[in-house]
Amino acid sequence: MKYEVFKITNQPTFSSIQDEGRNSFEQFGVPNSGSGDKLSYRIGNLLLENNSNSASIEILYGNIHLECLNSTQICITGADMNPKLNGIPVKMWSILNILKGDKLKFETSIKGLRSYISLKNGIDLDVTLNSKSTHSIFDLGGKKLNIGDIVNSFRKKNENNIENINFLKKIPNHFEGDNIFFATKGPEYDLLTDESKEIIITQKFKLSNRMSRTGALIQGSKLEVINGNSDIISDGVSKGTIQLPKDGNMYVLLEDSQRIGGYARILNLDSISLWAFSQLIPGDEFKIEIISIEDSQRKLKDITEIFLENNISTKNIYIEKNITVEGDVINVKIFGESKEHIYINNVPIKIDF
Amino acid sequence: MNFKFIDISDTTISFNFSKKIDQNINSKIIEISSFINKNFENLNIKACFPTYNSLIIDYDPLKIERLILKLKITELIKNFEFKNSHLEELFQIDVSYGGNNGEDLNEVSKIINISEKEIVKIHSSTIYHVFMIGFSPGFPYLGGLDKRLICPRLKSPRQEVPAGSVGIADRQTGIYPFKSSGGWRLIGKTDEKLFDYNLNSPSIIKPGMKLKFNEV
Repeated sequence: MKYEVFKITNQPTFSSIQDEGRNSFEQFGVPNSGSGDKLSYRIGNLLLENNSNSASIEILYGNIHLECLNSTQICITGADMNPKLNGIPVKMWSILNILKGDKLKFETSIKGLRSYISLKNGIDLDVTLNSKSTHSIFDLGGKKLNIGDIVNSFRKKNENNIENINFLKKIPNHFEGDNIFFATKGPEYDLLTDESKEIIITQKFKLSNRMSRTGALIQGSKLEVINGNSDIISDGVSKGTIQLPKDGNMYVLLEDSQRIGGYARILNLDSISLWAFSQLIPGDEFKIEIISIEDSQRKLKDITEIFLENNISTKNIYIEKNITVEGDVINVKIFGESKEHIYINNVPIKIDF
Repeated sequence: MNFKFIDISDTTISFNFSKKIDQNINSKIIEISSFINKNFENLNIKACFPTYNSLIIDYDPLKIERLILKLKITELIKNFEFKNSHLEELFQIDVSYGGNNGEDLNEVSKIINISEKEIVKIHSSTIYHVFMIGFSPGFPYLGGLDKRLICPRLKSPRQEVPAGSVGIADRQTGIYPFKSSGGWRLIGKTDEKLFDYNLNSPSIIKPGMKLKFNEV
């Protein structure tokens, strides 16, 4: 059953609906799209016990205001954009109960680019080519969220606010790391001059402001190929592929990128590094380390199996009481990790602690 | 067929069959790719698509080990029975050449010193091979452009190429199904809808097809 959950009440900088992405239409030139920081996106669905491919709201750069139209459970993951529910800071990486009339606001992000709002049961939206993911340029899937847009979810019959709150014990370390990204050698890595290979592993690079969901231009020392021409016969690329165009500046392909490219594919960020890289904001600095395919796949296995299994916990922190005050029965509900959400007769009450 | 196994990333591998563009090799890659796309589940992969010289496969290393995938695909290619089945398909597209529909036709005519009329005649009498689809959804990379029409791409790309534009650049010709930026010289325009999200096979033009433009 369709269930209206959010109304967007400001003009967000760039927020869109994303899921795991669009696969198997590459042969027709269709980009993959999907959430950029897959780890944060996946944790949201995992905590809510959603299907793993449930669509979420991906907030880029922050600055989005939402009004809750019907109660449900949500989970906020990714970059900390200081989310507040009715003016009170809320806990991220944990299930939140929200009620009709609640106002949820995200500020402009200072550290980290992408936040995710996962909704209980996912987002109700027509599937385009196997996915709900938005590609705003080719008008695929959802669309860039605008003021007044409604985000729908699903509601099963007799579904009530849950009493058990799943939460993550340990936040993924890609928000506090020292920005070292691992990359495997690309098919044209050996076309690089020895000097350029040395630059890659010794120098610092910076994310320029020329970045979008399609790709990101990197600033740093210029790189060169042996014969001076980095054009190749157009061939397969992947998200995370680092291309080297003629001007010598690296260009990292991101989730909305096409899958065929004509520049030397010198490196490829490994999956985990790509998720962390997708959280950089223009001006952020980073270093690159080379890793083997075998090691990068081992890391991927570790984080997906071990990290996620060991860091999800459940707490019962929902309290509901009916209190009689001078003959009137008042319903009081308290939930939230630090009891930050108090509702009296289903009306949220703001309390300064 | 000989090929080299090349990792693109920790989730994408490539089987490279040639260092040069070769229509016969490309046709074979397309046939293998189509077969794999029809037998997806058996291989436990995420996606497969052809390029000029390679077969590209996306996979989840948690679901299938890289070495096992490599073995399975190698086995499949070695025992593959080529049928050349899809190669007879000829797709024809109506194009209005020149004027507002092909803003650069006049300039191309001056650069290569062939009359506009003659350019249209040459361009619309050639049968092209669709090597692959990329750049944007449904954008065909066409091979077989007549050598007389070779013309360098624009010095600086156009910010907005209208949907349906037919362009030429170096040894290539192609059609822009979507409004986008682009550096090819525009010689004509088609009204045909080349991409439809509602179809299971959304691109009207498919890798391996033969394509011909008709002047209208």
